[in-house]
Amino acid sequence: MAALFFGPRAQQLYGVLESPSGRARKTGVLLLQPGVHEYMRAHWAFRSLAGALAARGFAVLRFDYRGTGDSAGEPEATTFEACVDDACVAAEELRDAGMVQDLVLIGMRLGAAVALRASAKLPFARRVLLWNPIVTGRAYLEELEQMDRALRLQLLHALHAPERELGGYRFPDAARDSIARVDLREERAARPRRVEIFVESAETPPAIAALASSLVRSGHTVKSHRVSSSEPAAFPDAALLAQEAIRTLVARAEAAE
Amino acid sequence: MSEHAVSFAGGRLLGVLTEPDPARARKAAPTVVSSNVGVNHHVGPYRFFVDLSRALADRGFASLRFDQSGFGNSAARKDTLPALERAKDDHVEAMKFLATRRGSPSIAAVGFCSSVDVVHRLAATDERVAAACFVEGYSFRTRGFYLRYPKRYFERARWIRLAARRVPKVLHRLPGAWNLGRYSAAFAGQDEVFVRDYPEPAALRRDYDAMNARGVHQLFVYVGGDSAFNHERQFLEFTGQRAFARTQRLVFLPKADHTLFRVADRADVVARICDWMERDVSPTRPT
Repeated sequence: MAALFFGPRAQQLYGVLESPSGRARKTGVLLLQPGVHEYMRAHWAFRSLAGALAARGFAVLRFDYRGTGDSAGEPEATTFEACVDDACVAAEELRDAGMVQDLVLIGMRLGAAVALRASAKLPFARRVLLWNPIVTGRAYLEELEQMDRALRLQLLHALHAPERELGGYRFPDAARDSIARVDLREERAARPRRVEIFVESAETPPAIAALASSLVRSGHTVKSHRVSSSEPAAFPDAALLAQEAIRTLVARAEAAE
Repeated sequence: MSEHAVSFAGGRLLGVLTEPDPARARKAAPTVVSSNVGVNHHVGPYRFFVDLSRALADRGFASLRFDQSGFGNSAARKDTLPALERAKDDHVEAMKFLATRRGSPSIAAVGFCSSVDVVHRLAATDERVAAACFVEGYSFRTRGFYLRYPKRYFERARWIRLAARRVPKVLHRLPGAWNLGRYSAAFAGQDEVFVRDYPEPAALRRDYDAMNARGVHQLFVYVGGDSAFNHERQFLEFTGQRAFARTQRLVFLPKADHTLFRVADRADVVARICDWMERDVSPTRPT
């Protein structure tokens, strides 16, 4: 495991590159993390996923979008489109540093939306694996706002809701507006013909079913997986372990070659 | 300012070293060191340690934020040392790394919630620790705490929370401004989750005396909310000190919560730590 800063000098991104153990594959895996509070929750799960993939011979890169984690910049610079640009920079970095020819993109929640959008710009992206994807930005924002209200109530901040904050983070208008425009059902240009959707839920939510249908209509081959979840119900700060999801994702990444 | 991804302890521990522009660097100042809060990686709650590192760099201070063994991006150790001993050992490795990389092992350690444990232990015993900041550190309920306790019955936010918790489950999914939905149940019993072993008050007092005797600068940051601390004087009450030592500073933010959820509260704490570094720990201006 090697931590590194990469990308343009004025906009350095922080990433962690996992080198493959054993025989190296020609396909690398780029991990696209979720956003806002889910970024912290998912850190351990992403480390575990990266380690499991590296043990199967993949070079893996996970990184922080600009204005998040250790990457340079303030949250004011973090829009959905900026995250897509960062994903493309990270993909090039993985091809160079990981010495791979093509990529599988795995994105979780907002990261899944980033993966699908970015894949349209990456001719060497073979397959996109969407993990609990957000389908529309508006529904995602509503969910965040509900979580924010519950947290503020719990932490005795219910009387004063500061503007341009969400879930404890700075959340400028540009970020909110760019996420509100996201609708994966409209992502016609995603280049890889194969998209797989992983949902940690006993039943397939209607929005996910609609996403699968729209991807099929636009010519993609779509495979959906329901994965059992052992996560604590909803405590917004609880670390995500996602062992079953990780096993399934690793198996499907292997199938991509 | 420049930031470098670094590894030490034979590549086992990973972190980020933030250094100020050479023109404004306070070369004699200790390096500020932070690590994990609970199971969060080194970025800290709501990116607290990143904001702190960059603000410190603006004031001329270098900092290292790193992951302890087995946390964040760092590899696990293969021994069976107790958690606190492992954490202490990891910090010793950090100080060795700083001695090589920056020419001095001297540090100002910042602990936040659970990471206060290792910062306290090091500050009490390790000569290389020049300063220690304890954000939401040790606190004991005193008679004064209980005498002041009823003041919370006049806080509207508590009554609103109580009412919301009493909302019948059947109404949780109804839309509306106070729809708690699936999150309300998740908070039930949270007060019981974060329990750690505290040193006894007498041992705590001995440790603080040792820090004062060595001239270790200490900054204590406490918040209100649901914490076990409700007045600046409470520190003197539970330590039995008659007054704050010359090396001790205390900040009490009654409106903040334990995780510093609000952006303004975090900015306040970051500014207070930077001010403390500048005024108390290393007042010498860069030349």
